[in-house]
Amino acid sequence: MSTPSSEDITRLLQEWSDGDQTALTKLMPLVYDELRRLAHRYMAQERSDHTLQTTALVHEAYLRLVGQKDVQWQNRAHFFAVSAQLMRRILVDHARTQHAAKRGGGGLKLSLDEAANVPYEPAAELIALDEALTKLADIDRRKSRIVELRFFGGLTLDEVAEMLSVSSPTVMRQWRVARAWLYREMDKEDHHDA
Amino acid sequence: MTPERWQQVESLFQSAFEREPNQRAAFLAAACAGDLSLQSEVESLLAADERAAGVIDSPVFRVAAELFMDDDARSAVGRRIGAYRIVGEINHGGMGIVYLAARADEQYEKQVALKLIKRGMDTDAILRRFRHERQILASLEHPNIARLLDGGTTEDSLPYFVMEYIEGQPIDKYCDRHKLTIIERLKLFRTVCSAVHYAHQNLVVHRDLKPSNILVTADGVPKLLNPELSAETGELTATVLRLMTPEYASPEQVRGEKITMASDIYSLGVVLYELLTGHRPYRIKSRLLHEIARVICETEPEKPSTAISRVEEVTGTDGTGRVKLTPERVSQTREGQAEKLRRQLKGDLDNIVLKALRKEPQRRYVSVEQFAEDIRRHLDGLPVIARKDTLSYRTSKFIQRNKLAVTASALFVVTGLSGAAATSWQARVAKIERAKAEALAAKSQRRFIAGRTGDYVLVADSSSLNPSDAMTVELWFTASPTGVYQFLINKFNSNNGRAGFPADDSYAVYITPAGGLMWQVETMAGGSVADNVLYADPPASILDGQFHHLAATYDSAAAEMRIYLDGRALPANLIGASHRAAGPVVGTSTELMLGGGLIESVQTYFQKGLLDEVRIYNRALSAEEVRAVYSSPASALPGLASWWRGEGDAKDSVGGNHGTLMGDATFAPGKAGQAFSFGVR
Repeated sequence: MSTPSSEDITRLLQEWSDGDQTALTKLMPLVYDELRRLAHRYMAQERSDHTLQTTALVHEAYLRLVGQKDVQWQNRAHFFAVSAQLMRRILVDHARTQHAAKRGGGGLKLSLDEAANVPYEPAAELIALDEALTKLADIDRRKSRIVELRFFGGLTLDEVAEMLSVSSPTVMRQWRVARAWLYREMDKEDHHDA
Repeated sequence: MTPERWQQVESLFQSAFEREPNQRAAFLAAACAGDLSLQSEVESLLAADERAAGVIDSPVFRVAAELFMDDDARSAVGRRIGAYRIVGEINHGGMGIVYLAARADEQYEKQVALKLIKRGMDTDAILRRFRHERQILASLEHPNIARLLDGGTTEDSLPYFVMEYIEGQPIDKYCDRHKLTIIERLKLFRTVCSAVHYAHQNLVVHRDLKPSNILVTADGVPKLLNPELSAETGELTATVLRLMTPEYASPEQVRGEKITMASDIYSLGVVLYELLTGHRPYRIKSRLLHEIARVICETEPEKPSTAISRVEEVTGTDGTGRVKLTPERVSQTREGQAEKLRRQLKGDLDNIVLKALRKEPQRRYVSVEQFAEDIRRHLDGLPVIARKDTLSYRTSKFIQRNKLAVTASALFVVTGLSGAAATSWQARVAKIERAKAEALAAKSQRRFIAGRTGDYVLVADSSSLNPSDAMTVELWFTASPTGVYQFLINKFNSNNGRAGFPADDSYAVYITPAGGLMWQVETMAGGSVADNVLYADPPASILDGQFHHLAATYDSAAAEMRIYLDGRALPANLIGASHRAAGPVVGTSTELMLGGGLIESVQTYFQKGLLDEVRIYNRALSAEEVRAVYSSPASALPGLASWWRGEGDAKDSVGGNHGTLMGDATFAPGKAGQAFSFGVR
């Protein structure tokens, strides 16, 4: 596959944000590959010098893909909102696939039977969060957006505040209650699950 | 919930949150005006908030990165590495993945396990460690450890090694399928211990002991898989944990702290628990890392003998259906009848398993060998080392629980432990706990050194010199100029040799200002067993905050002392008729010295620190002689004491740069007590 041009991606992003779902299916593999590459680098860097990347992975991925100067969005806010949403979609879909493969055996696990153990699984946690977030959106759309921007979009609370044109303390308060709500919801699911 | 209701909930949450925690309940009760569902909704959110801190605070990247790591595991199948072809994935280790592989040239039919470092983890530091691991594994030759066959580097320079592929069943499955009795299970488990002990002797900590890493071959031979290296786990811990099965992880592992041999002992304890009862010590249902950590670090496991009565549903070992564990079911594959199984587990085996599972590494068995030996003693009908929780432990818990009260009143508890020596430890503890701070006054005056220097006080001492007393308990604290307290609890029993309490039973528990257990000394009967543990948990700050994870074990029977510093073993130090100074501590500039007389007399060891400070970590006693030198650094830190005691009476010696004698205690034959303070005038 040839390397997609920034224009392609920008266009697809724009189309998707305009409601064209087929744009998303074209977009995902492109972004996925880039993310994967960056994820490796992220891991390697984090391990070696033990500093967390301040440049968030998502920003980097999108900026690299789209090219900062080519961003044709009306405003940054819209761009990051779409980015965060896309990140959520990609990661959660990916987590679901992986989770299903593990549960279903997939023929990869051999004689050592790990199935009896329920190890910590990032995939499972991500799926649970996604589900809880969807429920939160039903009762409080704004808070689910804050979480999406912060967790999936990698924005700081200050950036989120700026984007939503409210004060940082306000966002902080809303973040806090959203986080508590999500935690409780995820915990609840676990118990039902067990 | 409707958006309107949610708004109401949120606004109350925010208002409650702005109030002091102790005022929230009252505020909510008033604000909800009898709407109980509203009130409980807000309360549960507030509770969730406390536990949710940090849960999704850092962005998704780490999770994302881990998802992609998992993908890589799959992509290697079919690849050729060296002379081997990857056939499938066996499992994940901390930083590598183990594949099933076969000779690509089909020179041999034999299948092997190939361990390859994960992509993305290939930083210099990790590569170095991986090679180091390979080297260590090459040196391990034990009939119960999977052998290292080969090693090399892939085309893209990732190191790998090839191990014997073991065809067998996980030990738990094997035991159930063959309906092994408890005794047979214990014997099999002891064989596993011998392998782990062998690895420990070679400074290899396994770090991921669980049934699926302990396979039993068709011939009934257990084989240990995937040992990892012992070196510092440091920055990898979080990943290691994420990849390991949380149920077998020790508290220090889930907290991301240093993993030592004691962590393996813990994991072995979980395995044994499961082999004996069919249950795991903890029921971890949550997938949230925080919840997992909370359960492992904060809840106490049920005794094996009562755990078998539990009825619970678990995922079947074939990974498909749910299996209902019942007393009948677990005993069916063990002793036939639940009651018989319960009787077999009750007592010794309960104590043995729980000792291995203690939260604090220093309170577990000091070695896997000791663990296995205790099982042997049980099998031979001999008394075992493992006992129920001891006074020192409970007392330290007590202090932690009551720290605030203690600090506030600057008073402490008087305990009277004379007389009824045969009553249980628990009874004593109950007695201690009943005594409140205000009960102090009169008794504490009996023998005390209060106010001697203004910063050192023997707060309470219940000891009497009556020779029929089984023991004395002394509780001390020192107050530093900054207002923090150090607690020293010394208990030494007299030599009455009463049943239940060995003549030489002694305790010293040193509690850090933060309430953590700094150092605990336990010795037992007539030199037969000694368990002298020096540990800092959490890392204590005594002189300069540099006191980290220091652990010592002392085996008086062997007249040998081993000191672990930062989890690493030191050369053993012999204490015999002559004194011997140990060599430099491995890996640090620390110098350790031992001085002392006979085994049961004195061990005084002190440490020369990085900054040329001499720090004191031990004190000692003996019926004949007590000698403890507490020496301060030549410069900045005054205030350490030197003690010499001849038979029957105490004297002190202060001189050189030893600093100031802080206090004295009256010694009676067979009793000794001393205390010191650090860094105060």
